[in-house]
Amino acid sequence: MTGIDRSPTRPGSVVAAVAALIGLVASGAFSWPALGIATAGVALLGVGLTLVRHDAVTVGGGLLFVAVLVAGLQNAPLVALLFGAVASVVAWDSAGTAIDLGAQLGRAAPTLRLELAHTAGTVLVGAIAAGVGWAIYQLSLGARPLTAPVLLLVAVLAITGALAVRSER
Amino acid sequence: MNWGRTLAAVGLLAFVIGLGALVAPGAFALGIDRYAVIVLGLLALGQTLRVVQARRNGPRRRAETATPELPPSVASPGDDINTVLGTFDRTRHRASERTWTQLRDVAIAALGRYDGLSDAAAREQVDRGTWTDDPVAAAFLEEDADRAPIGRRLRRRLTGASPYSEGIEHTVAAIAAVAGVPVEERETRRFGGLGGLRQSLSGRDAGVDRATAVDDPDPRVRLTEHWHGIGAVALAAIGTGVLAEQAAVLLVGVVGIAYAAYARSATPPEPTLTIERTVEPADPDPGETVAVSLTVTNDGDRLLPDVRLVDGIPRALSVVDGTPRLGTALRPGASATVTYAIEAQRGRHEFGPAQVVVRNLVGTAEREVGLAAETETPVTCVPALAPVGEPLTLRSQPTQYTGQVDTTSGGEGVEFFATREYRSGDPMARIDWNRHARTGDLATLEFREERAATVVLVIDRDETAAVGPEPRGETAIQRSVDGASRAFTTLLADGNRVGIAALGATDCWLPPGAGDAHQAKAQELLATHPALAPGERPDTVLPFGWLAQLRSQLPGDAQVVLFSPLCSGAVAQVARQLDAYGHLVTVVSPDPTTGDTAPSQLASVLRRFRVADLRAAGIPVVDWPWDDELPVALARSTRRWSR
Repeated sequence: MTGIDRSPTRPGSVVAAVAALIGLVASGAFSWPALGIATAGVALLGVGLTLVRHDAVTVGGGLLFVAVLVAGLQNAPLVALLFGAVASVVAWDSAGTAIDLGAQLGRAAPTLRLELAHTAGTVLVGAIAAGVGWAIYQLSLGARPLTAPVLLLVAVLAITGALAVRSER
Repeated sequence: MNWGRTLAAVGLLAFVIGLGALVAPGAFALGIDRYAVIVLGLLALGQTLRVVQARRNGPRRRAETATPELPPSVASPGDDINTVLGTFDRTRHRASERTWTQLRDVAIAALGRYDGLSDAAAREQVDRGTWTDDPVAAAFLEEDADRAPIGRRLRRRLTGASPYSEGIEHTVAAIAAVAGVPVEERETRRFGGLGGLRQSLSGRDAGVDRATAVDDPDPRVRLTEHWHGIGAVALAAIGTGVLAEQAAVLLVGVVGIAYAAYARSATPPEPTLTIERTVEPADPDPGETVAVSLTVTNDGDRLLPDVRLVDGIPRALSVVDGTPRLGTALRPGASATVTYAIEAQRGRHEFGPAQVVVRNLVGTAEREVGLAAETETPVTCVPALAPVGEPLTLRSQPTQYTGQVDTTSGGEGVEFFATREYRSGDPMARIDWNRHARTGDLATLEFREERAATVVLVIDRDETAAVGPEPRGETAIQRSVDGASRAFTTLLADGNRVGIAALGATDCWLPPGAGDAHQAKAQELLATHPALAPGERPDTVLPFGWLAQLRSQLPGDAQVVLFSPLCSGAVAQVARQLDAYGHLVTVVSPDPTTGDTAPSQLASVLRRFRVADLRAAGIPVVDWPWDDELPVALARSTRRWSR
């Protein structure tokens, strides 16, 4: 016996692949540039999982999300955008978790329950957020007040600022 | 003052008002200029870049897990050339020239021993560089070693080969050639295929080598930074949405905000876990498979969504089937079981604590603990004592017990020794009737007396003996213990009184004795004494204090059989001192050296020196090649001695 296989775990890799493909379809169906960027993102995710590279996984997930924004700029429907955004985050999260789990426990260890619980949490949060986003859109359909985006922007800045303070501590 | 909380509160407030403005435009008309929006959108995108940059530079952290599946790694006899040279010559040379001076001395010694040169002649050959055909080696040991030809120096600069290490390699190979040590092609351990690509790209070590879990890991709690930079998702969406005036894109930012908030929770759960372990069988034979079943139970009243566990397998044992690792989620009261199989070997093996890492559901924080089972489940493997299967030749020496050692006095026995004049009272059966028929004289046959010896088997368990040719194979100590156990059985069956001692361990001592009870004691000691435990890294032994104690314990006429790989000059010295004090010494030496690296070749050469010195001092040495069985090595040595 020479060592244990510490490559990413199977369930996490499968979830990541499925989520990445959902993201690809959601954004790629509405825009050619988005399709190109999302394809590159999926490929990078695959490379990251194969070669056990967190940075490739992160760039891949990021490209998937950029593809969503590009599709949004080309007037893709909000539902597709929300699906794409959640899918790209889930793909990135699952792939990263699979890499960490693989490094800690190896590919042979039974990890299905753990990964299902983790993915369920991430998907649930995404689903609720997407629901809220969709509801806001329905409520304010057509209107585009300047105040709202600005305040949302301030909100996000403050919240990420709060996150930065926490992680520096 | 908690900035984080304040910022989060401001953010939430702004978010709520922003939502209000969406729902009821006009209610919150702040009259913000379009240019201000553009500036803020650019700011958001700028902030996105900063977050992404921080993510790139930010560390991702996780608990490194041990690899208890594997047998412990075994040092090669030549891991470090300076250590090897230090066993040859302990003189304190100047640090800058130590290796060079010592290598010179080894070369001169080798020339003296194997080419029959006098010391002065050998020194001159080394000084003039004529001792070897290898120009690099010759130049390396010359007095003015630094004056390499300009061409070679230039080539070294270009190829990047360090002239120093190149010189050492060539020199050692040349010395090995003089000493007749076979030099093997260097074996390069490379990873092939995908694994190799992974290795070269990530450059990270695959796990912690053999470090088993500890009861109190440091740090216990760790932020994993798994979600670090998720805020960029929200910022990018909102910045793009604002600049492009696309409400749909803007609202994608809600997803980002939700995840950023989700990732804010950073408290790892309490590991309210207990583990229980069963082993079957608990007293296996060597090589037998032991089934281990580990059950982990959540005794707390909260869900543990992320439990990662690596069992603490006894150091010396390795997993042959299944995996001792588990990742699971446990509801309150729930338990999970993992089963695997380990292969037993000699010794009493305790399980260590299992390494447990619990994370919160979102995966931002983890807590690491070492978790011991409440009831110990040791695996005790006591190998049956097996004889060598080949006569073990002890050195000639008389004692009063009958046994197998040939003596130089005639008497009762089976082998003809001499005849002497008949004395009245000699038994009729021993009268040489042939001679009486021929000459009429009465003579008595004498047979060689075979007598029992008192033998103490000494096992070398110095740090220098904890070496072996394979990185995860047996050590020379384990070989020595196996050899000693077989020699013990054979010698005891031959009627000798046999005892056991371990080099440097005063508490590991079995006085010479005989009988079944004694045999059982020896079996127990060889199998389970901590000084001989496999898998432990022994300390460096300073043998001379121990030697004094051993001498006070040794019966005056006791022979000593020393089991040692002879990787240390001090141990060879022990053998000679014991011999000088009147205990007849035989050395059985498993050979752990290989010829694949320069330090190992050197270790091999130096070991040959020691064997030759011991033999020259009249101490028989059984050289036991690693790939041979002990009886084969013994038979070869017996032939050598009887020649």
